[in-house]
Amino acid sequence: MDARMDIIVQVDGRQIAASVRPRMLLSDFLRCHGRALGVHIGCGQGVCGACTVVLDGVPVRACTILAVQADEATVQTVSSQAALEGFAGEGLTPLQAAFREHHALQCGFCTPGLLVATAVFLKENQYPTHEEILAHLNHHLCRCTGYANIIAAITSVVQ
Amino acid sequence: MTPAPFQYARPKSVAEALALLRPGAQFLAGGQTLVPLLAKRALRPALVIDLNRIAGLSDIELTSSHVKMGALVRLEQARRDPDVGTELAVVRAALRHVANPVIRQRGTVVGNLIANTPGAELPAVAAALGAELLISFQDGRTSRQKVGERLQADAMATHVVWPRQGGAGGFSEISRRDGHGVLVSAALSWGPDGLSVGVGGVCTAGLACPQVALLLTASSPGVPPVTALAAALARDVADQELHDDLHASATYRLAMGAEMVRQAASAMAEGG
Amino acid sequence: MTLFGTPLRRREDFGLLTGTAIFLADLARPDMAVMRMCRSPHAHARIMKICTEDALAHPDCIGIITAADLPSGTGLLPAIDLLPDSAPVHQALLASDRVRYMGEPVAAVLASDAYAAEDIAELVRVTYEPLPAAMDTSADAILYQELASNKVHETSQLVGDPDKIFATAALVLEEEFAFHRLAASPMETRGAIAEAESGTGRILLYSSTQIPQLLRNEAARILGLDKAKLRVIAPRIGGGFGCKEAIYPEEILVLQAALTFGRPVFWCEDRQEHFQATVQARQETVKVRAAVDEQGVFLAMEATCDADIGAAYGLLGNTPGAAMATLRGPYRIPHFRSRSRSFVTNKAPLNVYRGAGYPQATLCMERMMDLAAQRLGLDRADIRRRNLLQPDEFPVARGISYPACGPVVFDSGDYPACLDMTLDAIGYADFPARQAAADEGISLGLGLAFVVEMTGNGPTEPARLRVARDGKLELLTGITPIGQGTETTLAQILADRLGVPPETIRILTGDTDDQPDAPGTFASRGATMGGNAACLAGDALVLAARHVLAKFRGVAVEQITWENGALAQIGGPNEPVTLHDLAALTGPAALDVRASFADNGNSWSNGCHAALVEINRATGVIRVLDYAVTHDCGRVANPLLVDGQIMGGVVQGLGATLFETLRFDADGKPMTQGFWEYILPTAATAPRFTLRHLETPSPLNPLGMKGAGEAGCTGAAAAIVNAIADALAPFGIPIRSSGPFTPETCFTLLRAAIGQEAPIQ
Repeated sequence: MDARMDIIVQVDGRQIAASVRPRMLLSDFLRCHGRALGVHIGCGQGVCGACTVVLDGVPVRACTILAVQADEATVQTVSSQAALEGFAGEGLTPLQAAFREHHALQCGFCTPGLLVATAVFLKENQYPTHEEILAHLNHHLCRCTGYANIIAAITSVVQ
Repeated sequence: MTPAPFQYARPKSVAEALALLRPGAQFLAGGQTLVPLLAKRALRPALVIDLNRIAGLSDIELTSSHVKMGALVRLEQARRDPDVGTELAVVRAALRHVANPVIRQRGTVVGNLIANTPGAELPAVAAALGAELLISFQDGRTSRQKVGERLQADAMATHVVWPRQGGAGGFSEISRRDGHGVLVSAALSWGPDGLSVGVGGVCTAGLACPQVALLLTASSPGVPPVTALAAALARDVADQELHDDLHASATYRLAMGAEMVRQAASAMAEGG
Repeated sequence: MTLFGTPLRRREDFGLLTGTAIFLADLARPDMAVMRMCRSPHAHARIMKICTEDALAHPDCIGIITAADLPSGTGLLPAIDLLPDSAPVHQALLASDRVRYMGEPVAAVLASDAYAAEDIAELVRVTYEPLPAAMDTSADAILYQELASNKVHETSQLVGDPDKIFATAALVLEEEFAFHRLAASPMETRGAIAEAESGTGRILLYSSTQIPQLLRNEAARILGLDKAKLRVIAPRIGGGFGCKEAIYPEEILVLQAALTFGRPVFWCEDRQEHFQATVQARQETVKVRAAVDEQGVFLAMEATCDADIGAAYGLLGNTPGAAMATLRGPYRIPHFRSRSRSFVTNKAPLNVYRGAGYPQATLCMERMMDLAAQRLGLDRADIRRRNLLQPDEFPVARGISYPACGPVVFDSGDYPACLDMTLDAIGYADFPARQAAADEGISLGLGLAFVVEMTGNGPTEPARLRVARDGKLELLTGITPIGQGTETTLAQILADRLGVPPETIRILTGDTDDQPDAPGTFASRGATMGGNAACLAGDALVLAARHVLAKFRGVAVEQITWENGALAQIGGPNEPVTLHDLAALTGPAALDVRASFADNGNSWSNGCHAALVEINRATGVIRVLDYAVTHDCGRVANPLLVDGQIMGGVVQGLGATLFETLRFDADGKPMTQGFWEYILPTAATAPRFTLRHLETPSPLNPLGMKGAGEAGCTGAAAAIVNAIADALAPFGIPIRSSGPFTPETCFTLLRAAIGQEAPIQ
């Protein structure tokens, strides 16, 4: 009934060709076929933001997209964090380093999606106000940190 | 949490999409509402028709009387559109509250209106303004229907048309938690015919509130006390079924309908 | 330079920030069978028939396990702290004749992938005969036919002679508090994998668990396996908060499935399943009586607690009892009686969740303090001062003992100083003016809560320390990280002890091969017990190394010293000998020591919390604007990490008080099955924090440490509820529950107090 479709997706700079059923979610596709294990599934309903990736330059929650919709598209996950931040150096990116410096992660499960989303946010808002940072963060769930350190980490990168 | 099996098609035109339409089919545009429902297996369509490859549905156009948005116009695109800013201030104000910036970049205006979640922002605005969906039928007919009216199984909504307002707009909402789980929305808009008011989340669908509009117009530029607004709202909902669910009771929703109108009106009066 | 006490940044972060850290789901491989549970759609029902024909016929079905397929003698899930007369209500791996909560596993299907597994699970046809559901502790429907009632467990405590005091007290206050049901809800759901270990004849069980050693013991017991043939590994864990401190059917069933079908088996729950079947928390009602004199001194307290423990015991069967045992908190209150009863209901089992009973105890005690202050016209800080145990009274034996703790003896603390620091931090003195000057339509409130909680419990904690081939020191610990920074903290403590750079120490966690017998990670014990054990092992390794070098050089061991992280010989060659050098000379076998740290009792951390809330009376929306905590967890190894624990815990408590609640419909089915309905706190809802530290070292362990993992959560509900009560006090609104104080709840309370028609000005 649900015949497989051949799709080709660029995932973090690698070309992934696969034959998938239409119902396969992009989140599962990225993890299974793309080996992008930094895409974490927190809720499967688009609420928590842990599965945030960039699809053709636009941030999306991968669990709200079908894999077949990403056919011929480019996906960037946390593995492309340097490119997403426009960082040409080695090691941790500025955001990643700020997160570490400010203890903005504890269990780390929500972190990759948050990093990806924040990179995109900062690209479009170079000098966000405190309220704008809160509005951006307000749609990512973190159960560990209580958010204060995440806000501090992002604020430090902006200044 | 995986979808049940379905067939998938990605037509290149509206005609092709309509030709595919059959019982058990679902259109997929932004997918921000649909895909989570598929994942929970709350919906089990036999066929998912992906509209995202159809050209010509991503435009926001001005006509002499309306702002017309295609079925693939994204929520964030609409929020940033300059014409929406000038002609539909209330829509721009409401869009700031819809979901979150990431969801908005994918989710569509038409999709959001069709989903018609109780309390949601855009259905409340649509009720206030009398926005309509442009419908194309499988048999080639076209028609229009009010947002909130049930979409027929052999039809596709290709556009939403919003009557041009040109005046100030105000919007306020209350949610379970800031930015999540909107309970009640109130939308106000000054247009060529005067003030329009709509609330969402008080009844199951967005509701136009002419009694509230009359009261606000009479009091303008002052804002009436919430008790008077509540009385007017009660008249507007008199024949309607009130919405009551896990998130909030009908009593609270009705009270918040009045309060959200008051807040939106106050903000508008202050030029906010 | 001492490392202890410095805000060292975490080594764990590299893998987590780059998305390369390995969580349970990341271990999935295409050759693994995927297990999916068929779960009961009813809260209470008889199972009449299970038909697997259609499911087995599916081309991707590898097999199905029902209760009937389990080997005879398969055990039940454990509860480890029960009393001899507790009724036997233990959950089976799979329901056989009856289901007792919606979501209870009835069958396990195995398929080639997760999508097919979900399809196949739907094809298992179970015929149920629904039964009336017991949805509270007074319900009539009996869950276990062999029992006369749903009351399954009862404990009590008695200190002094409360009856005598109550008979003559100037003021007797009586209140009843309701506590709602919560889900710990870590961002990573549960998961487990079982597979045969290549070439050893053993079986590997991976699980996202806080207790790998206990899981190994229990899995072996339940399935009748030789423990020596079972190895359990906890990979990186995405949060636990106590809900992964339990033994679950699924993690045992992957093991059974791997054995039955001879192939590796993968299982991971989705978020909906998590809300149905992962252990839940906190639900109970508590009646409290307090006898208070005219000066506000609490002379006696009495409390009875009825806990709604769901359909069966969780791993810890006595959490409600623990709460009642410690109800008096930091206050002297010389006479005390408590009784705690547990009732089974048709909900998922109850277990510990960050604070494990202390949040409830704290809320009851702190509300009573405020109520007494109100009745007597006393300042809320003053009344607390009059009751607090004083620094010179320590150690304080509370006259109470309970299974998970042993005797309750507070080891150290300076409670009055803690209170004063928090009052200063929150601006207590200035608050009345601020409250009076609130904007129109806004009510401000300030609430205090003093927390004392058991931490660092033992009785023992193992540590093994050895020199690895690459020259690094390897510490094998029984503490399993769940986000709190175990590796960084233990490396820091050990590095400080040995005088070596922390980068030269590797921490190995979560593997029963490394530590076969360890209690696990819970009750804020990781840094304290793990750190002390690490130091013990460090000292032992240094001693062993001195002996090895002494023997090698033919000198007395007294000639060999340890300085600046290396061995030196008095009157010998000048070059220091590192442990790495020594291992190269003599082989690593001699440089491998095991230690077991036994503390001298549980340490008791304490903290004073203050919350400042704002209520919008027109909508009922409550915001926590400011939150101050002075926390005393003895000597602090890493203040950065401790502050993180406090803030995270406070926001969890805030979520519980303002947003979160598990709800069930009239048929007992959960209405909260995802984050749309179970509302978690977010960045915009978090308060501004002011954190202060006080250190009264614990005399019970050499490092003087106490635990910190739970304290934020333990005090937050009480502080915020007290603040809400303070804000609503002018309207005469009594506050007697843990919430959640949703906008509607608050609005309705205000309307009821002010009158339906009056505008909420």
